Amino acid sequence: MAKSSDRLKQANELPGFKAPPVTEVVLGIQFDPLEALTTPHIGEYRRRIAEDYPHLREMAPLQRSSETFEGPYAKQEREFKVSAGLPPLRRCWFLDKDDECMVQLDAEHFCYNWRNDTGKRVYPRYKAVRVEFERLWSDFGEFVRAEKIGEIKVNHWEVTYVNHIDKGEAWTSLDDLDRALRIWPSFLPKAFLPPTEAFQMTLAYAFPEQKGRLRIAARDAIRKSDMQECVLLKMIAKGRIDSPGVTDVLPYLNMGREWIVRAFADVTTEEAQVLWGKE
Amino acid sequence: MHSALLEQLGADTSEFGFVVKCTDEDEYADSDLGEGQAEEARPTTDDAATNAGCVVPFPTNLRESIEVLKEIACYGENWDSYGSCPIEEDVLCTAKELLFSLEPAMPSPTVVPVSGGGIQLEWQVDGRELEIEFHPDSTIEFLKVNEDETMEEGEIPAGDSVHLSHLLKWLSADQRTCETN
Repeated sequence: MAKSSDRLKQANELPGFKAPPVTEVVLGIQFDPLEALTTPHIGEYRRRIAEDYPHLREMAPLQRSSETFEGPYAKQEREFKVSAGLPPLRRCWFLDKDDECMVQLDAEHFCYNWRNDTGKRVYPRYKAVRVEFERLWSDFGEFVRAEKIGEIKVNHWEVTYVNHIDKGEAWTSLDDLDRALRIWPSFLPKAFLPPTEAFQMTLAYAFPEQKGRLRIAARDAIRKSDMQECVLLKMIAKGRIDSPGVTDVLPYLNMGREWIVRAFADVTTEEAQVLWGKE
Repeated sequence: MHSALLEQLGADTSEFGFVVKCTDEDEYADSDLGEGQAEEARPTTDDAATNAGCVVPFPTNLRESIEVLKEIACYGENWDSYGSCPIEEDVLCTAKELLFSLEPAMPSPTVVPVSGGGIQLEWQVDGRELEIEFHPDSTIEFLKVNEDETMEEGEIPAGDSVHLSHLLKWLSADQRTCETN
């Protein structure tokens, strides 16, 4: 019989997997708009990180979002502020030479992504992703100070995990998806209904004390690169940072990650977890 | 590049001119996963995940074409017994991109491997026929057969996504309705 201290330790430990189906991890921060951030600054920042992140892609900037707890749970207030004069700064992707890791930057977002778009990379684990985020975030802060761009006032944090659960990996059709996902209803009546053609679902969970919210979105999909059918399981933890002057964002990110990992263990089955090498 | 051309087919432009406040009822509607993305000029922070676009909702109407394409992708040397090389990766990518960019109402094309490493997509819709052939040298050729059995053929110049788009629209019933209206 396990000792109570062992049981306590077990309860505190996060589930781990040798080969999780994760294909992307994002650690992101939203801050009040850096009005003084200009295109030349972006160029300067690019030079600063070019050794590790030499490639550049330009995208539309992310919308500002606000996680609220008033009103229906799924309502997420968004504001897209548009200048009648200059268009907003584009969001830049600074990619490493393998397109595996990237920094995303616009006037009010800083994100770090690890990506496994080829499906052949080994997930380096959260700690490694967080360490690199921490280094880059700290360096960005120094850059903003050095260039006298303004003060970074963080207002939201976000952690996202994107998983691809391939067909043939615990599930073989949408009608036996309950072998992989606990959230899939296995009790669907089949007296009349034909085989399930498609599915899409979203779940949301508020953290205690309104510290954040976890959204779980799942749907059937096909991966374009190898035409593999899969379930796209996207888990997004996000929350407000109300205290002004917060510089240490890591506790928020750690909290978001913990929620995602524990929720992942909740929504997937033992059978699937064994395939992913549950530790 | 084939892919560049196809990217233009789905190219989106962003326009800004107001300050707008809104709320989302449906998380999917503002993510890569949703149908409503085209209505939004700016991605939300949920789109900080960048590889969501690597997967698309499964196009159930294209299941047969996808299965053939997967089979073709596995062809080795001399698959046609005339010494053909395998299907080129770039050609496969382009054919996939075109398939996944088709409007849901478009019929599923017949996918045919072409000796020399190319792929041809073929449609027959209400007496109209369209063949689009992707060559390993990045050229794209088309053959169009009108309802009166007259034919047009030619090469789609690199980067001319408009031409390809017009061919697909011509084939689709929507275009036909537009023309008769």
